[in-house]
Amino acid sequence: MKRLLRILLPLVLCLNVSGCGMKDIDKRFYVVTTGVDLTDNPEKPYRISLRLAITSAQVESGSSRTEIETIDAPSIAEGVRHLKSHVDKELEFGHCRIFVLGKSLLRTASPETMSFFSRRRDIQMISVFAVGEPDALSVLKVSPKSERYPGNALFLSFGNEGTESPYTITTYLFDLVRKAYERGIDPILPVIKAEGRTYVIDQAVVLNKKGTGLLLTPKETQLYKMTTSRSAKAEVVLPLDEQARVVLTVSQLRTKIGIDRGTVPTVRMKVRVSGILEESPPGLLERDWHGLERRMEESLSGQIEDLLIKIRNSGTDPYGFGLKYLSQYFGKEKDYKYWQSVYPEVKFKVESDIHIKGPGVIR
Amino acid sequence: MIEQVRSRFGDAKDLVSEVMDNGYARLELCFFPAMCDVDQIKDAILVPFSYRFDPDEFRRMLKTGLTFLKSDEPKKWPELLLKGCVLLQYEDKVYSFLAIRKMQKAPGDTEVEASLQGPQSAFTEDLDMNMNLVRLRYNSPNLNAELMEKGEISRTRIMILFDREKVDRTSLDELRKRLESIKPQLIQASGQLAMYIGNARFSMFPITLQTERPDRVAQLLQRGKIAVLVDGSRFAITLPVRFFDFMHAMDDDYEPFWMGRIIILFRYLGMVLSMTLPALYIAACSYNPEFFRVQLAFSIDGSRAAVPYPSFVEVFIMLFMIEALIEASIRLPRFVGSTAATVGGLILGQAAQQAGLVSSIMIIVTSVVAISNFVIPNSSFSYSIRALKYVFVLVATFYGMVGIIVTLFLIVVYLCHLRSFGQPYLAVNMQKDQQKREQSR
Amino acid sequence: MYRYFYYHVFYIGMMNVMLFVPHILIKHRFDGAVSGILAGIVIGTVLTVGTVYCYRQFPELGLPEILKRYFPDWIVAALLYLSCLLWLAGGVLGSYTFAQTMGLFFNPDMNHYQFLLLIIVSSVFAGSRSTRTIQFANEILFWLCMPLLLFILFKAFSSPYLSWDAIRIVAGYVAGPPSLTLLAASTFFYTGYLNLTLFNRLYPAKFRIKRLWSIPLLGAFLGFVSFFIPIGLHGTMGVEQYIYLWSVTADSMSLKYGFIQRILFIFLIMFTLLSLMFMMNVFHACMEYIKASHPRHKPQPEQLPVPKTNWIVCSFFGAACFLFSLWANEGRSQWATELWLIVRFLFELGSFVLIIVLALLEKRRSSPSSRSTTSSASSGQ
Repeated sequence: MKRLLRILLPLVLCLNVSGCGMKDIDKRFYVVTTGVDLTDNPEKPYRISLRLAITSAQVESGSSRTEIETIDAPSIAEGVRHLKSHVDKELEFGHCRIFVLGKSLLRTASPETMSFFSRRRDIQMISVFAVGEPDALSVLKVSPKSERYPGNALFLSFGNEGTESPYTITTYLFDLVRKAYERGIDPILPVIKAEGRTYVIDQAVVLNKKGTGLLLTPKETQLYKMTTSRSAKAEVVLPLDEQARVVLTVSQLRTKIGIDRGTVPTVRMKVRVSGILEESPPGLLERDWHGLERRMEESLSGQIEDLLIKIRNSGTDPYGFGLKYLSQYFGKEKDYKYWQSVYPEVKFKVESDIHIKGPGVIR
Repeated sequence: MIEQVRSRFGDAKDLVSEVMDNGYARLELCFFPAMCDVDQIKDAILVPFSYRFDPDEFRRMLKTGLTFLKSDEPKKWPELLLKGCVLLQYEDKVYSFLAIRKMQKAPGDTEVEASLQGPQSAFTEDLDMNMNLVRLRYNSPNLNAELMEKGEISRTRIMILFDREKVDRTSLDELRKRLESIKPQLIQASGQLAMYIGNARFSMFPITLQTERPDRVAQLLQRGKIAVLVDGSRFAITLPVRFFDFMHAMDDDYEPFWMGRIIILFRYLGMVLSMTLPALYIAACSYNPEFFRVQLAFSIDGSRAAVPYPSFVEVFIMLFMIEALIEASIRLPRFVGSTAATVGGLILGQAAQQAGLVSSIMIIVTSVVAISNFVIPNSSFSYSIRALKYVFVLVATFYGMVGIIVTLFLIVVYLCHLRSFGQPYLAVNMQKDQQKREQSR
Repeated sequence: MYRYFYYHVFYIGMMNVMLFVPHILIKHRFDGAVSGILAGIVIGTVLTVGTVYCYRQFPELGLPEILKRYFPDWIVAALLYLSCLLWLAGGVLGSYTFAQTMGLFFNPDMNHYQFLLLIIVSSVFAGSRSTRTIQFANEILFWLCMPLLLFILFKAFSSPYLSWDAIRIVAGYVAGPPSLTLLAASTFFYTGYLNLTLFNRLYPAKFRIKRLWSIPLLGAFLGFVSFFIPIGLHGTMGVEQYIYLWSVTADSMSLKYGFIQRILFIFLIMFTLLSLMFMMNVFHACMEYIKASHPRHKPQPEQLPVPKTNWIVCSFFGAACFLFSLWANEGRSQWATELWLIVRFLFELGSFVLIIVLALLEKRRSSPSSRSTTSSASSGQ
């Protein structure tokens, strides 16, 4: 009996203090995508839109249903708090993995705006941030036909979970925050375009510390992704004279970046690519295997160098050359100051090494 | 003699008491025909006394026969009669003759601990038969057997078996001490005795292992454990045991090594699932929906949409249903049992979910819990796991995920805290430590 | 047998995450943290190895029994109360941060005293067991945590977002001399050896703790991992803004496959187990100290059933945890933890000197007899 009491007593105590914290899953409203735009109203500069999931027992293609709530508010936190009065269930951000920032927001946003996201405990540090074009709300309004679970289409688009597109850059929240504060590297965000009933994610925008940035074209985005990640899914294209093109699918890829010291530092980038030809005029490879490789190397190096110069001229540094420079020479404050002053004149030297493994299954 | 015995038994009608006279000598005879083998009495007493009577030979037989014992103390007579002895008085001397009627003539079949390729014979409800089975498998002069009687009324015979050279002395002393200290009225099953000597009535886990398999007893004896056989029960108690012994089936030793290991691994997995799955469901539904990945959370959300009450009520309803079903199928006669299973399966399966009383995910959880509970080879241990499940459910109702982890921790500590007759219940690498300790001494 | 010693070193080393050690180190990452960790390796190893060698002079004896041989009862009691207080403070601070973290990431809407209650009830139960039980439980819990830890480490090192550049930059700031706080923080990775003061009772005579060379490796590994991985994932500048640094770091890795998507939860499960393990050991050690302060106390590593005094003493510890949480908030607990780390460091140095002196005395006392004393306690190595 005594023993029983000893077990029961803590339990009774628990009962007394319990009562809060429990909320059933069907009493919660899941936010699957959050969008933030800038309004013209200076009183309430932020327009917060949430895409809420309406789940159902039947799961079929196109069965996903969502609801969109929008509000204008002076800050994000207030907006979210106010939105709770618009819905019948508790808003839950735990499964919100996509945050879309309106294009207009980028011009003025500072790292402090982001602090709402990194401060909330239920927002995952691995949620994806992207830029919405023309604005975040219109991206939220898209509902793809193939979507099974609410919001699943965007979840799958990023981070190689579903599609492994060479044009899609994935930026997680922790990565964005880190690059926003870090010296010598700038954040880069993918751009989601709303087009009819689907999304197009093939561009990226590079931000500098003040928010304004540089929009990369799809081709540049692919080059950037190729040279920063080890993602093998990429292609190298060589346009030939008579309208034909040689396309190489990359199966292995490795990029090395080194920086030479000097009065004006030189960034040396080595790209080693190997892959299989996917499209080429018949017999071209057999005629001049080595020469074809050489020509492709030259073309690729040129493209990359153009991209690097364009990025340098815009005053941004998504590759993190500055960080690389500091780390290579164990740099301190002074070195960073020096780097900042010489970055606009930094020289680039790109060497690429392409190795064609074969012409695919046919000659 | 007859008068004395009759008065002690209050003129019991099933007691046969005869005075026989073959013309030369008188013989008084008392026995319970229900407890004795009448054929044996005829062969051993009646035939020599009647057809081939020879006073000298008869006297010699009484004096030298293995089964005839002189019993002069009137106090012991009722006891002897109740054991199935025949009392006879010849020439003013009283002898007892053991003629117990044996029910079992052959070893039983394994029913609870079935095995695919291992031995199929199991203990019976007769102690002598069981001794035979153990001696056959453990054919060593080192096997010690101690006989005891326990139970004020039942006076059940108990046999303690151990290997003299391998046994752990402290456990043996502990066992003897506990056996002496208990004073039960009736002992009907070995499980009952195990409860009495188990010492901790509120213990969550069994600290003795009951088995019906002679091969398991032999194996445990060889590992220095003690076995207790109880007359009238087809289960032997073995002790001291460790946590891991309960998850071990004899088949594991008869199958190829790696297959055995994998199956043991699955068993542990089943044990953990059966304990925690309902609690995890509550935690995932009510506290931490963000714990699992999006797609899974939405599935749970969707399937729970029609359910009107909170998740823990749902869990309790389903767990009650499944427990009732299991209980019913054990207790019911075999012919009705299948009906119960069918009806229960029908209700639990489709109807409850379509009526919106429980979610479809909960049905899967319930069946996984039930099935994985049967994976545990020892029935008393699987009872423990069945009960522990409710502890998890209760804690998860109040604390969600953290509660489950903390309970897991507490169970580990509790298991480490338990001692089975002085031996640690849950500890790894104990044997290696013991050897090292002895080497260093 | 000697593996039990390493379990203690391991889980206390791991507890650094709950006691703001990475936080302190990272606050000073540009002025002395790296050299602090390096100095910590040397100091920690000397303390550990020296203490292990000293305890060889006292087989099957815990610190209370050793002290009783040389000091009058009242000094022994005072010393024991002091060390009890010190350990308990660690447990209390750990329990507070642990309850905060769990509350924040698991049930933000729940009253945090309720969490504390759960933790305290379970630690009181676990801590009041016998010493041998604690020893067994440590082993099982270690094996439960190990796969999770290895998995998290694997995930961290294989993460493409781990920036080795940032790690290199911070490693470049090796020159600055470490402050006392940093030394105190970086020697915490080795504090596990102090459990020898109690668990030495269980080790038989002529027993050797082998593989002592692994102590600096283990400590350095723990130190570098818990310092550098957050830097690698959050950058050299962004890393300082997080309070629950490692929780956020674990959240920065994701699982593509499996039921769980956020590594954070695996991390929290592991730390729930580790923190409870820590609390259990702290409560138990403090309880044994208090009990041993009674002059006629006989140590009993195996005691069944659990005596009432155990429950009572542990309940007082639980109450202390509660009282602390009434006073504390985020800032105060950080301040208190920092202070505790320093006091702990000084106390460790003091007790190291004490045990060396006692070991020398013991050696002199026993050298006329035929006992073989192979170890040289004087060198401290």
